[in-house]
Amino acid sequence: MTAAAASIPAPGFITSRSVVRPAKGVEKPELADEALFEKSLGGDREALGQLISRYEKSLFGLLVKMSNGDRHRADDFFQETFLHAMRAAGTFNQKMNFKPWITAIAVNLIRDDARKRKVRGEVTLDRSSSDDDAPRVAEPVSGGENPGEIAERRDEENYLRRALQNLTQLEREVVLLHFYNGMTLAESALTLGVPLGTVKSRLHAALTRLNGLLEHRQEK
Amino acid sequence: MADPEFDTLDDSKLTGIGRAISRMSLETPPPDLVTRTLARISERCQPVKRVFILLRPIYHPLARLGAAAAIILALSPLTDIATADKLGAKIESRIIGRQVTDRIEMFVDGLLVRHGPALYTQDDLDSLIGIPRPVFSPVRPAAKRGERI
Repeated sequence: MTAAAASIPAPGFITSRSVVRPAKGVEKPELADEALFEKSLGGDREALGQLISRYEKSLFGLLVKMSNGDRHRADDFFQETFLHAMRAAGTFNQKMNFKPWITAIAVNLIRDDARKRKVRGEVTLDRSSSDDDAPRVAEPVSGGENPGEIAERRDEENYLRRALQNLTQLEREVVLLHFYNGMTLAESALTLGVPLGTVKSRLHAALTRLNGLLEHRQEK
Repeated sequence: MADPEFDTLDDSKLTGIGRAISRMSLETPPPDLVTRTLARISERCQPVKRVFILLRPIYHPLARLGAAAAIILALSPLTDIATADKLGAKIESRIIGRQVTDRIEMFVDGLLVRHGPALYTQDDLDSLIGIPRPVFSPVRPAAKRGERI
């Protein structure tokens, strides 16, 4: 499990809409995303900064993966996502969960961009190859893992990244939301605006196709 | 990854792929991403002022029709003069008082001045709402022929 996925609450975690109970030993209760967003709309810059920081890693990572490893575009999408969120604040209410809502904005931005590029006939370059200069979080190295195993894992990850690009956009979205971003199936359905059954079937189709691609690689 | 939802995937190979994706390395965001995002938002957006729901403009055509229907339904009982009279009496007695009512009536009467030929007389109105016509008596004797008033 990635660090981002680890920080994501388990399904059905949300107990209070406004305040998350502090963990043992923590003095100050941490405000929920929804409450922070409400404060941000009132002009509280600190609350907005806190909210953006909270989503910085998970959302940026998702955007990089969805934009085929292009960090510059992901950077722009990240800013645009929060800009759109502030502008579309009227569509958000306290009954909604902030995470699927903000992620839906990000996904829609990616989709719009892909559509525009398709119309313009632009070709998306694969920026996620092994020579990518993008800094990444140091991967956890277990005690028994030697450099050879690390290299093998990196190689496997690169192949997985390229295999993800062979999926359709809809399939890639659901795979990244559920597995990479650690969202539950229900949250993914909410984000994509499709029924839960559709998410499950897309996920199954995507994984089956990925399995085929990975088996094909092993045969080589 | 101990996610119970993974159990929906009956194939262990597919579950393994899911786990491999969840183990993919995280991207490190640029150090000043939050600052730049905040600056961009501050540049383009002003704090949103919440407007009371009844004062917000309605943009959706169907919602507009619905609002018009709601207003018509709410006001339609007032087309019955008895209901309107009862309501008016209650407003007069409980809310605004006699004096204010008189002033409003005078103001409205002033607005309702009819220019041009009258289609009906006060007598017609009185007889319509059942007021008996008053008996007039002369206050002075009628003038005789050739006499100047």
